[in-house]
Amino acid sequence: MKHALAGQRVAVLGATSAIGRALAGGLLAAGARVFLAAHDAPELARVAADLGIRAGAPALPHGVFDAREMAACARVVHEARSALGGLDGLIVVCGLLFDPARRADPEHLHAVHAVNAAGPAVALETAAELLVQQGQGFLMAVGSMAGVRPRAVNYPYGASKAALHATLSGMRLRLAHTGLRVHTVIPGFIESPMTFARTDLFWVAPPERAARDMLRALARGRTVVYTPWFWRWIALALRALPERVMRRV
Amino acid sequence: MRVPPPAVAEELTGWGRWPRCAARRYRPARAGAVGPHLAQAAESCWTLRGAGRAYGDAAIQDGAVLDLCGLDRLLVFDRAAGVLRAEAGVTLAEVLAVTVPAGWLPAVLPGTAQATLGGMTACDVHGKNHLTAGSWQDHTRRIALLDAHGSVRDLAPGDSLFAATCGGLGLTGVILEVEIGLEPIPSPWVLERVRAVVGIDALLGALAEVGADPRWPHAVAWLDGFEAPARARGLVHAGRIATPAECVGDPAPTSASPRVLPTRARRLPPAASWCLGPTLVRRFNAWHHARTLRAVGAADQAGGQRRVSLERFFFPLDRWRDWNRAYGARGFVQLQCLIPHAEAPSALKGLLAQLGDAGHPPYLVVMKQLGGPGHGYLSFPASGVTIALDLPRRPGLEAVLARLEPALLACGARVYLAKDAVLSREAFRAMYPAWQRFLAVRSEVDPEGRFTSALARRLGLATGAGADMS
Repeated sequence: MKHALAGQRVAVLGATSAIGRALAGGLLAAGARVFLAAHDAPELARVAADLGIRAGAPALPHGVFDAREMAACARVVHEARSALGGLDGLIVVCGLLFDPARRADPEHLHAVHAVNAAGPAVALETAAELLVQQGQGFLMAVGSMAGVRPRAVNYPYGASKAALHATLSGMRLRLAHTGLRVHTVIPGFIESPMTFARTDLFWVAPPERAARDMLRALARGRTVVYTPWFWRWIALALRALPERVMRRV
Repeated sequence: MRVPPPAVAEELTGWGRWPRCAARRYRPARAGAVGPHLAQAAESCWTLRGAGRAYGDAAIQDGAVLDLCGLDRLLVFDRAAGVLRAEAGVTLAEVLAVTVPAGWLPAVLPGTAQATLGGMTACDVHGKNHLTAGSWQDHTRRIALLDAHGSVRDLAPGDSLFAATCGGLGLTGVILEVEIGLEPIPSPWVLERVRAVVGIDALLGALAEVGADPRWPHAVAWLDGFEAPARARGLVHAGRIATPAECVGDPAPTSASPRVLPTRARRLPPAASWCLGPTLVRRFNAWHHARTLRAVGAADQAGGQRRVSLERFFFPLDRWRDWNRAYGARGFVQLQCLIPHAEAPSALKGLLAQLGDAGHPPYLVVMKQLGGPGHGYLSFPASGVTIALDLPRRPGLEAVLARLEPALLACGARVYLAKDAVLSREAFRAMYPAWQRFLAVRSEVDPEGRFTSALARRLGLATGAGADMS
């Protein structure tokens, strides 16, 4: 793993999230150079300082961006490229959970789709253009099991993640012969502030495990990663269920 | 967002697994979330908690507990000057993983690297080198404290609030960040010298001899608690950081190598708690004594010396994650007290004899020398010998410990609050004469008593909202 990622210049969007931090730490340990991006500026500065100290590296380059603004999503990719002196990969870990209490709020609904689907799509396309020119590189984005099959509880979130999965699949087809690799990551429940204290969850995995699976996928070239691995089979089953049965579940 | 933050309803204990409290544990994920948690959760009083390595009830209550382990970011590391600033939830192990490869070590190291910086500050921990290095607060340069009003204060040595917060057991406010000074080290190895002794008098003599020897700054002694104090076998360990010449053949640590501090701790097998009893402990004590002498004798012709890793010397029990589970569901109590030098031999013999006669011999006995007084109002260190006794909670233990209190008070002893689970209010006030000054400072920064704990209630340090049983 150290071998494949050493020296690669990678931008991580959503670096202050639990998975983002663990992933950036893993990339640095593997010898990559990392640009961190998130929307919470003070927290981003802390995370950049923390990761830099742990990696024995000087201050890590970082930049603030709001995933709800499409122009910002494109701009941050260019910012990463100039900060790192080039770009070899982009990883998008942004996410916004849907809050059922705000179902009637159009701004919230829009934000969910923007942060989870449209914003990442813009960032991914921008990065794809840059990487195609150099003929090699990778793109990766984190979807969700919620995007595999919509559920009554949180389908706005699920729908936006499903859109992200479709974007990544489509990009994989379009970029098939360009030397770029496009990876889809589909995590199950991951320990994070989102899942803390929730009693309805099961098989909750630590973010370090997700990060490890993602880095392994990058090193080995696996394009669709379920983390932990057993969610692949649950996804298969979920997709096969008729809607009648989904209604009861 | 005015939604109250989520909390896990669970039973929390200290490291001794007793007493137990039914708590609602909140866990802010970042420093910026602490203030909103305090403001938005509908809780009248809070107990602050780090890694939960305090043995007794300093970090628990029946009510809201704020788990600060999510504040785990390192902020500044000045490699040239040896200064580190980090959030309060960073553990000592994480600090060492970063500083040791760069040639720096905190001057004061407690018995476990699993404690958090905030917890170590709140307990004003001491190490095996208190005579030369003092306690944790002597190397603390700055503390960022969030008070009950929601404002962040920057504390420096010399402030009365600094003296109240160091050793203040989380009762003055939320420690958000800590800045510490480090000492340069020539290698990540410790040269350890071990002497065997028989009897408490010989042990105290050997400890004093090491304490007076500037070549060996670290000193700790172990005693077999199952034998009569006058005849018990003991080991006195002296340590110092090894020079590079003494480390010939070892790989130099690099910043990428975590092996400097082996962190893969093993879990104790579940059956361990069934096996732990007087028979096993007697056998273990004999085996430990013999094995240590053999290892030391075999390693070096100069007699009694060997080179060990930092973790082996400073944090011997950290190898076993959750070693406290060996004491089973009933748990154990650690009595750690400081006894002035003049009283030490007779008081220690009396203490061990009383425990043995009452049928509660200590499973582990560790002793160190402490130097001058700590500077915090509730600081534990003072000049004398400190003894730590691990006592499994078998029926009758609490009564025995209550009966010991007058004897401890009579010899001028002081109990370490970070380990304490049983001390009475009156005894506490006698042992910590600065308690009123502590309360005065605290009432200014937390007038409603929002920060409390089960220990604070027991010792009469809880005021206002924190004094009521919620």
